[in-house]
Amino acid sequence: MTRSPRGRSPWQREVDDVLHGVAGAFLFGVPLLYTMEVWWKGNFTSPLRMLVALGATYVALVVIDAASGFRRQRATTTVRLLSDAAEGLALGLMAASVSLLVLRLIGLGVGLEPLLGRIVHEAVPFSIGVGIANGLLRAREEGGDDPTSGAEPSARTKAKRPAWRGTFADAGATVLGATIIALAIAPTDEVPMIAAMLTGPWLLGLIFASLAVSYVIVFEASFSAPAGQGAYQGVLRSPLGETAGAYLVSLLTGALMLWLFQLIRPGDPLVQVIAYVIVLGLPATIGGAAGRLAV
Amino acid sequence: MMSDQQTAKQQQDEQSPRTAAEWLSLGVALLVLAGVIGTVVVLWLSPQQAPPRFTIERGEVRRDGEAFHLPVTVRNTGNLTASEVTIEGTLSHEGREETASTTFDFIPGRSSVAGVLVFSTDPAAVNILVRSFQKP
Repeated sequence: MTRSPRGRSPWQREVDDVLHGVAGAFLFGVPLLYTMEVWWKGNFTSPLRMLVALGATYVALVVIDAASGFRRQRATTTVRLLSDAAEGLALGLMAASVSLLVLRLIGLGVGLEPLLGRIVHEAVPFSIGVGIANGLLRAREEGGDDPTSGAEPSARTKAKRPAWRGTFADAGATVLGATIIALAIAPTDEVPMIAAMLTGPWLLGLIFASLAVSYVIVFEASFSAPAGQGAYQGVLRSPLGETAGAYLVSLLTGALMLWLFQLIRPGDPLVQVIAYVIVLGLPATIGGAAGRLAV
Repeated sequence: MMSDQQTAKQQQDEQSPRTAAEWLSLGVALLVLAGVIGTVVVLWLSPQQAPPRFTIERGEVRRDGEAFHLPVTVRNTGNLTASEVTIEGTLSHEGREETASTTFDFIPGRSSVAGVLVFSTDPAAVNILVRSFQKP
C-alpha cells in the first residue's frame, strides 16, 4: 500500500494530493456547474436544508473514501477516513466557490443566504468528485499492481510512436473527452446565459481558469505516471505547450458543437461567438484533459 | 491468533503519521468547514422570513436615437426570494401616458438586479413601481 515517496518532499506530495482532489472535483462537478437549476435552487434553500446537504455529503464522502478517496495513501484508520472526508468536503466547497465566482454566479449583490445556498448546492457534486478522484484519475499510475489497469502497455506503445502520431493520438483523445463532457452542455441555455454575464476581463479569467484546471488534471494529478507523460512523444512536448494546444483543440471542438446546435451561426457578432466558445471551453477542456488521461 | 495481531499491526503501520503539510491541509479544511457550517447555523438560528420588499434605484438616462434608456437597479431588501418580478415605469407627457415595463426572473433576498426601461420621451419625472412578483 505504502507508495515510495519518489524523492518528493512531504509538502510536494501534499500539494499533489490536494491538486488530485481538485482535478476530481472539476471532472465530476463541471456538468452540474453548467446546470442553472442547481444554482437557482440555491436561492431559496433553507439553512436547515443546507446543513442536511452538507451532512449527507460528508457521510457519502466517508463511505467513498473507504473505497477511493483522493490521497495517494489510502485511509486505513477511522480517524484518517473522517479527516480525509472533511478535507474532501472543504475542497469541494472551495472549488465550487471559485467556479461560481469565475462564472459570476456569486459575487457582490447576492445576499448571504442565496450565496451560501448556491455554494452548498454546487459543492455536493464537487465534493463527491474529490472523493472519487482516485477512481477517476489514478488507475494508470497503479498499472503495476492493479490488475484492472491496462495503462502500462498503452503507455509503452505511446513511447514507441513517432512524434506526429503521439500528437495526433493526444488530439484525438482531447476531442473525444471534450465531446463526452461538453456535448451535453452545448445545446443548453446556460451557455448564452453565462456568456451574457461575462465581459472582457471575466472571459480572460475564464480562459486562465480553464487552462489551469486542464493542466492540473493531466500533469499534476498524474505526475508519477511511470511511462506516461515522461515518454510523451508529441510535438507539443512541454506540459504548458500541450495544455495550450489541447485547449485550442477543445475550443474548436466546442465551437463545432455550438454550430451544430445553432447557438453560433455565420454572421453572428464575433464578440458573442468568442464568449460562447470560451464559456463552453471550460467543460470541453476539462473533458479533453480527462480524455488524454484515459488514452 | 498471532498472525491476526501481526496483520492488524501491519495495517496500522501502513498509515504513516500525519506530516506537517497534511496537518496544514486539515487545519485549513476544518477552518473552511467551521466558517461555512457556522454561518449556515447562524442563519438557521436567526430565521429571517421578512417577505420580499423592493427599492428601485435609477441610473443616468442615456439617449439612443429617438429612445431614452433609463437603467434601474431593483433591490430586494426582504429575506425571501421573489420570482417573476415585474416593474413598470409610468410617464406623463403632454397629457399622454407612456409606460415601460420589464420582468426579472428572480431576485433573491438581500440581492439586487439591474435592467433598463426604454421611453420615447425624457423619463426625468418617471414613476417606477413593482407591479407583481411570485413566490418561488
